[in-house]
Amino acid sequence: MNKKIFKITGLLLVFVLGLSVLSFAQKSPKSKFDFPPLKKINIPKVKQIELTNGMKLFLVEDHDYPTIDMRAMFHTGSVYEPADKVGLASITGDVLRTGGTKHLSGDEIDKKLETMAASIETGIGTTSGYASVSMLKENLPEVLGIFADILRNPIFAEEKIELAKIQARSAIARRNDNVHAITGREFNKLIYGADSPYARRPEYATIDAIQQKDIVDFYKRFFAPNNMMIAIWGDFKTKDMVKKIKKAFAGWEKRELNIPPIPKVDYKFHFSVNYIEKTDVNQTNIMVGYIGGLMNNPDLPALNVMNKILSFERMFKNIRTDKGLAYSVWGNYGSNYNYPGVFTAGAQTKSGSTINAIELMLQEMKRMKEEMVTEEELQRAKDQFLNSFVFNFDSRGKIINRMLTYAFYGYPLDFAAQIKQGVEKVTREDVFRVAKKYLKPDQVQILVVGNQAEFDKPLSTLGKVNVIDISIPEPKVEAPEATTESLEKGEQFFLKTVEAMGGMEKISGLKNFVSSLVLTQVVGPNEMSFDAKMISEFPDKLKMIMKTPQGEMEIIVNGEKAIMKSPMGSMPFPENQRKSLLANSARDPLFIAKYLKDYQIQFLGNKKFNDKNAVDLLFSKGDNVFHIYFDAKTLLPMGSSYQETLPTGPATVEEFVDDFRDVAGVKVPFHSVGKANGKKQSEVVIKDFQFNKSLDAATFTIEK
Amino acid sequence: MKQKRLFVLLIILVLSLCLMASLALAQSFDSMKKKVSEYTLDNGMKFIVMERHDAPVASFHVYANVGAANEVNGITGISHLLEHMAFKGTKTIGTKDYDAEKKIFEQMDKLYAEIISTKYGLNPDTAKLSALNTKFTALQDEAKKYVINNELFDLFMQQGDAGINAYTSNDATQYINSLPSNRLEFWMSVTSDRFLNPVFREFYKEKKVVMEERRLSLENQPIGRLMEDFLASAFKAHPYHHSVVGHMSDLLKITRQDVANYFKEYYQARNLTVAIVGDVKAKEVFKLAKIYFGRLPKGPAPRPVRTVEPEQWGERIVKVSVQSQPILLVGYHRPAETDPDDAALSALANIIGQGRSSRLWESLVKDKKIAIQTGTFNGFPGTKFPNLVAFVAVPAKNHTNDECLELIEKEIERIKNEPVTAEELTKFKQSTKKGVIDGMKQNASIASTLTYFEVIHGDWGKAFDQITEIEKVTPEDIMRVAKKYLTVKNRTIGEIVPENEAE
Repeated sequence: MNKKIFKITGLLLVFVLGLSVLSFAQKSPKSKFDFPPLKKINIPKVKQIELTNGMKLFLVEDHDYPTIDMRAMFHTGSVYEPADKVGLASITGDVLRTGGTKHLSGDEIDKKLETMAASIETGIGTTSGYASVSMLKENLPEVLGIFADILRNPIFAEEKIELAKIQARSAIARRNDNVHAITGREFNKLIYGADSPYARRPEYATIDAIQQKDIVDFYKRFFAPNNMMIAIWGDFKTKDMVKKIKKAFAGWEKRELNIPPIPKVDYKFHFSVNYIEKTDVNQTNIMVGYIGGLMNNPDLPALNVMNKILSFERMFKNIRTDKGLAYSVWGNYGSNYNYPGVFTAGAQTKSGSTINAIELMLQEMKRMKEEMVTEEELQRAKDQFLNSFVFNFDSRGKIINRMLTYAFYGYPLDFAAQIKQGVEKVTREDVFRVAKKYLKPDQVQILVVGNQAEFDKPLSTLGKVNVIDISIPEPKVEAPEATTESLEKGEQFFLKTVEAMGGMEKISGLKNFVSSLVLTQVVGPNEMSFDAKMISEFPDKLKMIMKTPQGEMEIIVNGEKAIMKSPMGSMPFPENQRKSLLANSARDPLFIAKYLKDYQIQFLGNKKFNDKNAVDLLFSKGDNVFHIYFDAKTLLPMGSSYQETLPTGPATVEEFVDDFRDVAGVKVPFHSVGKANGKKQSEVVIKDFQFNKSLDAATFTIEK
Repeated sequence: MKQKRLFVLLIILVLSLCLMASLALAQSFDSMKKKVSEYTLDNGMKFIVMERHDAPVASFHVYANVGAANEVNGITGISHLLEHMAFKGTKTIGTKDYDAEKKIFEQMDKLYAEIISTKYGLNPDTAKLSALNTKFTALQDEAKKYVINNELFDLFMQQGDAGINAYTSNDATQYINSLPSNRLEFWMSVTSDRFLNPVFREFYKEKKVVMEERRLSLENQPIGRLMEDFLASAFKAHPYHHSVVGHMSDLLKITRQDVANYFKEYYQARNLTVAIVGDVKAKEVFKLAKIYFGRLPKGPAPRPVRTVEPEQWGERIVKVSVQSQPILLVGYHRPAETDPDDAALSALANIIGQGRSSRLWESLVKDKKIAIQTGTFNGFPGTKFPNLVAFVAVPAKNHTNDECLELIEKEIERIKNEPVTAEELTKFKQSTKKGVIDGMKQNASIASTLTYFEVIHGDWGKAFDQITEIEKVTPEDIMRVAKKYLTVKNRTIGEIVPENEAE
């Protein structure tokens, strides 16, 4: 009996063994793998030293490659720049590197470094500044010398400041070119506030206001050895490197710094729907969110797990994989080291599925609060975090940089390990608790950038829509400072031209005008002409009727109100265009003469305009600033120029007038050409022009 | 006189320092090279392993020698779509019942063909179309019942994959993983199954995702539009002329069968090259490779790309009109990277357009201040076939593409007629060396470099030898290639023109 059992078991054993021999060949992907134990992570020794001047060093040797890298951090940031000089921190960080030192010009530094294939870069962000170095080890003496020289003796050469300003102005001009950049920037403004140090952006005026002295002062305020921490890794001997650093920075003394804490963020939770129109896109950029938190939040491990589940298990699997609505989609409660991060959920989807995608995103947020995540979801999220943890330590550069970051923001140096321990303990209940606490689908701010005409449903389905205007405030006209003398001279000269145009008495009697004209517009490669009529009553009533191939178009401006009528129906006339039309009227010399006391007129002297001798007067009325050029002989206007923001960005607009004819004793130009950045945009030929007509009372009425 | 002697001494000193450094570098490359070994399976699939035992991790790189350049009209974008489909699982991964779902796929494919022919035929019957669509949605819902959403992805992620991804380019499709090194056999098992038993499930949904990707990366970015039209003009015959993501109409109409056929042709063992870099033993890798990947069929060699870009007959100019500030791109045809002129062309590209002391940066950005950025693309849009070396300028506010072009032309004339300086040549050689070293620091980038050189140059060892080639470049070589390739007749100009300024 026993024998028999043995035999059967033996057979079974052979059978089982046979199977296992067979299956030794391949393991199926989902079978259980017995992973051999993972080799222990060999975390290298990091040497930490504080020099007598207060500079803190972190060093780790890595002899595998003949290179040396460094990264320094400073407490500074754009949060410390004045609101009327936004851009100062960034320009300081840039020109620190490009502007040269007491010993070398910026261009010499570029050449020297690149010939050695070395790089030194510096920059200042929102709440910190950095300086990084990368080199072949044989160049250490020379590169370290230049690095110390840049940090200690920068001269911020005017020429390189100008270059940085050109770059900054060009970046402003280009900031609406890319729809993703618009979305990120404007979303940040919604969360932190448009004027908040954490969201505001440079404008032409703030860049123009920055002077060399501001930059030098900003540098001096923050760049001192006792405000510097530096990580150094690569092919060197630690002892020797410390000696070299000491030598390179010898004589750079510790000094008292007065760096206030970074500004507080004030946020009130509320729901809002915000829209930015981009007519040339077929995909909508969506971001929804509200203020997030800090990294030292004890809930951080549970939030990490929640983020993984919300982003991947829910948003990605449902909205991308299952619905095919987006390529990228996410939901993430963001945390920063030293000021609150942002919760964002976002996606880009074709215009026709915009509202659908938003609703699904909000629904996934709600679902996290209403039902507990599954055991499988939790396990996958935790496994991913824990099993990939070893990658935090797979290079010396990563290890030492993380340490530097933690030390810089005052976090424990083993912070990553603490988070790992936290994640190991996270339960489904923890995820549910933080989801309920931190997810607020009813109090999100929604930002939609796209082409509303093609949306699946009106955006207002979600709530009251706030339209955001992203047009770029015009650059200031660059002009010499006004003096009492130049202002007096300006007014006197203008009064002479008023005489040439028909005299003050006649001009102040003007009440309105009516003109028939042919308007030619340049559209792409073509010119399109149509008949038009223009009625204007001083100072702020306008009516334009244009006979276009699509039918009659009418624009009425009546003070603060404006409307556009077409065969398709009426629609509100965009506010910025209303302002632009009225600003245009106010640039008419006859208008100026009538309302002279509203203007400041500056005499800028003789100039060439349209290749003729002209006298240049600079007029300003509030922020309407423009030049009018008068013929030096006839004293009649020849044209004007000013800065304006067109849909393509800021432009210099010029108007050229001629063919003056006498209308009721007043000289009126019957022909004009408009150009933007030197290219023709429009042309007007007047057929008939009359002053002081009796107008129908309803001419400028705008019905509700 | 004295000064001159001092100068000569200095030069000798500098040269000998450089020489010493080069020797040290060559030695460290030699010792790295010794850590690499290779093995070719009977079916032609090649495995390259570099052992690095510092950290218990490894990077895995599968290089499929197929990309958008293998596509013809009608299936443009299929290489990239296939890359997406390679995440959808196998007969056992990502499904609850493969046999059941397979039947639904067949019905869906038939129905989809009918929808397309109805929708795009003459006089589309809208009632019929809507009925077909309803039926299609119902089938899609039924198929969904058998799907385990993203199971392949989850398997890798759950094992701690820190770098799961894939890329498709004009030349290649690459699948990347980074795992704790004790997951070697797991990777072998899942990846071999992935290429042995792929199932293209959720096909029609994934096409929509890819269409969103096209909108995201190409259609709604001014630069994306410029690149598409620029390449379409520069290449009139060779398939580098269409974008990797493909045309929208092709994406709409590509069938599951198209993808299966494409997979069969280009994903056989001999067309795949694998590099594994990290804390693994080469012997172990080769043993497991045989067990797991030995199962892949050998298959016939894929058809080579036939079309060669013919000589250009005259300058081509393309303008993209969009709501954006201007950007200028000037490209010249150049030979494939395997051509002997490659090193001199790299030097030319570097000296003209790379870095703060490059000629374009010095002239356009620093000196004349008419651009805020300049640069070079070399090996654009791929390197396997004859391609382009291109220069780019981003005009500063109130400056134009024309102004930038004028200065770029000036620099191009200069490099054709004057030898570059010794300093410039040193800059090129040193920065290339530094780049090669930096690329050898991370497992993932080493794996990518090894497969690249193995496939494009036929030998992974050239990844380490490229520095020797670079050393040989002389100022005369640069002048010669400049004269040969940088001619007006051989160039294409691409411009972003602000919409209301288009001419």
